[in-house]
Amino acid sequence: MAIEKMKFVQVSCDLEHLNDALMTMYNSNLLHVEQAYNVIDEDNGGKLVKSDNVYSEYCNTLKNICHRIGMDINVEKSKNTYTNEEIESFINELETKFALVDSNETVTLNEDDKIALEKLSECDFVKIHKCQYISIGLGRIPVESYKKIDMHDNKFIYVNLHNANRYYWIAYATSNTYVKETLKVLESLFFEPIKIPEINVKKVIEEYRDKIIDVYAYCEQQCTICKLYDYVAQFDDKYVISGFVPVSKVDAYKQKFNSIPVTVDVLEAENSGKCSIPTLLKNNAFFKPFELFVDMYSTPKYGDIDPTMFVAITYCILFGIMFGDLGQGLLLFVGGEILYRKTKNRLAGVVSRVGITSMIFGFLFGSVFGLEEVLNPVHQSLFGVREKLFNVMDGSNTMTLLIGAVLIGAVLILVTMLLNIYKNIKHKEWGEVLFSQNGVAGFIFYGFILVGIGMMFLANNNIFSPLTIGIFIILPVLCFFFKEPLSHLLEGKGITPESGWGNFVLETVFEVLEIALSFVTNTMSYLRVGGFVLSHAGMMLVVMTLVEMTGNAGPVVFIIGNIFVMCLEGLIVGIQALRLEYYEMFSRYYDGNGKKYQVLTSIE
Amino acid sequence: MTSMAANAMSAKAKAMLSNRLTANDYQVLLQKKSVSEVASFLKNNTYFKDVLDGINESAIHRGQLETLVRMDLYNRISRLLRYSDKKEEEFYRLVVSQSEISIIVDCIRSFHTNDKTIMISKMPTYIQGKISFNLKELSKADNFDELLAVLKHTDYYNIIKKYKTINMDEFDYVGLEHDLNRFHFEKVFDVVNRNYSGQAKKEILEVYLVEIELDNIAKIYRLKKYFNVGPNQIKSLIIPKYLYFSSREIDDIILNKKADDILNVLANSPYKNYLSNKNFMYIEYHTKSIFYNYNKHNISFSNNTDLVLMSYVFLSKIEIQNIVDIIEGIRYRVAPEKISRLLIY
Repeated sequence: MAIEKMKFVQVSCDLEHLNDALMTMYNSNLLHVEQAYNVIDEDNGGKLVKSDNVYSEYCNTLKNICHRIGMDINVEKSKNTYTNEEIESFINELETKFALVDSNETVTLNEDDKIALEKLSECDFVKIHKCQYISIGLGRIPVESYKKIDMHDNKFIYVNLHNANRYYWIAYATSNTYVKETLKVLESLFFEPIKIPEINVKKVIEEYRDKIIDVYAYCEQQCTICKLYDYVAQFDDKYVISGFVPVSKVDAYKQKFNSIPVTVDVLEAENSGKCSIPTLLKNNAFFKPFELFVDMYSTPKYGDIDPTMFVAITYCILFGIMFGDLGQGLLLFVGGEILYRKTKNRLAGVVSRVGITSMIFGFLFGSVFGLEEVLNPVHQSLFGVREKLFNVMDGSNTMTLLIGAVLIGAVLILVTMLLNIYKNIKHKEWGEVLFSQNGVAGFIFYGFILVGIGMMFLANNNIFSPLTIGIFIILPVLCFFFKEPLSHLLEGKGITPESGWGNFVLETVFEVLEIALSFVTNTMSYLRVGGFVLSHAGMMLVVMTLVEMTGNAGPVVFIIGNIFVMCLEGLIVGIQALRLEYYEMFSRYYDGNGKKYQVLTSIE
Repeated sequence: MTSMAANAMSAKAKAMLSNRLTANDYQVLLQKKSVSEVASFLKNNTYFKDVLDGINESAIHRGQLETLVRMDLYNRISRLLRYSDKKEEEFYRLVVSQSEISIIVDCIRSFHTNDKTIMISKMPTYIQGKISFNLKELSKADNFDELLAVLKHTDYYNIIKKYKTINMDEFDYVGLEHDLNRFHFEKVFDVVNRNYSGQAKKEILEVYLVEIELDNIAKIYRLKKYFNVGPNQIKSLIIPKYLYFSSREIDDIILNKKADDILNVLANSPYKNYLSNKNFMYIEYHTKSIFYNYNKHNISFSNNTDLVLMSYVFLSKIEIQNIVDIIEGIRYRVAPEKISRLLIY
């Protein structure tokens, strides 16, 4: 439950080593880099570095050429360096070399055409075109027509290169004298000619492949560097790359620059000027997957509390209560854990963890895959009970279950208030600490009412007297009401509300009513926890009834029913537990609005 | 054929017919600008998708598209005949026989033109196994002797032998086609007489008699209007089979009516129920429209399975001709409204 401490790190170098420094920073995967305009201002005299990115154009041109000639580029690390003139001249050379391919561009060759061409390429295309007295042609001819070729008194020879469902691909050769006659015959047989390329593109591609890949890799690398200039601030002849690095990684980051003459300045994160400090959550392996839920809502601000651990514990407990089944929990745990280890999918991690609490509560409820009596002997020997520890389906337990759910909710609301008080003390927001509905006033108001009601029903002791009501209810309500002027007083500002007393009174009357109402609705919201315990048990009862009804097919129904309940109920309970986290808890203590720590490669 | 198989074939034919091109499909096809677009539409939106599967529609040749569309009819008939017995197989042979006649006539024409490319390109090699002579040998025939050698074991031999000549410039193609058609219909009547009796025979014969009678009327109109041929010669070129017009009435038309009066005769005959309401374009359009509507009526109302099958074949042939007209119209850049007037649907 922590947020990683950050340092603001600035790497300075001269122009000559700037590109190396940028690539080192880029490849380090450690720096949350800041845009240069966040680092410079009128006082420090910094400037943005401008660069015309010609390499992007080069990359696109090379990509287009490769696409045209059907070559895939697998980018590797560039082995050589090239001047712009060299790159341009190489591109021109490629354009000239493959220009002949362009004339064929309007004809779209399908895979079968390519197979036929490939086969024909065994005879060199260049040699085919050099023939002076023999004409050679290629094309596809319908299967029906292929059968008819020999019906003619042919003045040509032909060879079958390939055939598919509807066509044969043939190459023919004839003397120049009979070209017209041959074409007439073939035309009458619906021959569709395919132009034979003047060069063997594949062969030429192989000649050029290595260089194309190398030049492309170089251009892409340069292009990346050009894009990184946005992060470089210029101070006279010094070029500075700034950003945030977790404290634990600062040394590792510094070491990356050992081979380059740069100066690395490490400052406190708070001294980063206009830059807002990014947040990197730091949790142990058990809680880590729950960062997903926190990220989905909003990343906490640097310096705030990280709610991940609290979310993890409460989510697991709420899910476990609502989805209490030892067998199904075990499946969730095993399945989730395997998937999490294989894919690192955080949701799978969450599933595996809630599986554990599901197993625990399943054991306490005595439920295994909907079999409600299997664990009775264990309960009897362990807890000394007559049947089982807690029979969910027993009607007499329903009220206990629902009251228990509300109690859990009340406790969670109180804990979230304490968290809110802690957070505001950290930020020295004394008005929020003392007078807000989620501060001390709210805690006393809500806590007193809860204790009062509890004592009334459990101990038959009424603690509601004019004095206690005055101190623990009316006084907190007055605090809610006058929160704004009282906060102003604490901050040493004037007592008058910003919107004036008239507006203030009108707005605050409704606000206080809304606060009172929200305490009731938030508490009642936790009834769903008890509701879903009953719902889960009820659904499994239906499955077990069906198993009994279906006789021999029972085991199949048992398996399908369990899968169905796991999927449906698991999804619903997961969503409901998340809803309680976001609406009932986060709304009381958590703001988020932080900036996530992202290294450059993941930003891109 | 068992009654269950008969019902299955009849139901299948009706179901297959329900997939035929609609007026809307024809309108879409007429808007196409190239043969490729027509091929693409037929391949992706109609029941021709199976036969056009695998074609390269962007480069398909007009002739190939026509061939494939025609080939599809034989595929469909074969599918229907899976439910049939020997009797229906004989009808398949009759359909093939019409192709055989075209091949023989094309072959004789090639003696005249000294060019076999058209003949060979039109040869339906996809039904080679069903044809009564060897197509490859026929393609090599350069004169009547060689042709007769190929046809020696077939029924066509004696007909063609009569026309054997060296001087192709005065060859009587009209007479040859007439004799071959007459022979074809004789075979038709033979098959019907051998296989059917009673009402079924009457109904099936009627289909062919309608075809012959309408063909005779179109022929009379054309010979009178454009070739100014005398009554005796006209009589010799029609097939003397009669249904709604008696022999006397046909003679009266040949002797006393002008070409344009023939349309009125048709409009006042029992065929009036099947007449198309389009304005006159050319005589074959009207006779074919009548034949189309007549067959459509059969498919809708008849319980005679073989009649349904025959009507299905006739309607499919008209549909194929529509597609061929559209393809050729587009190829030769004829205005869509002009092509539209040729279509029968």
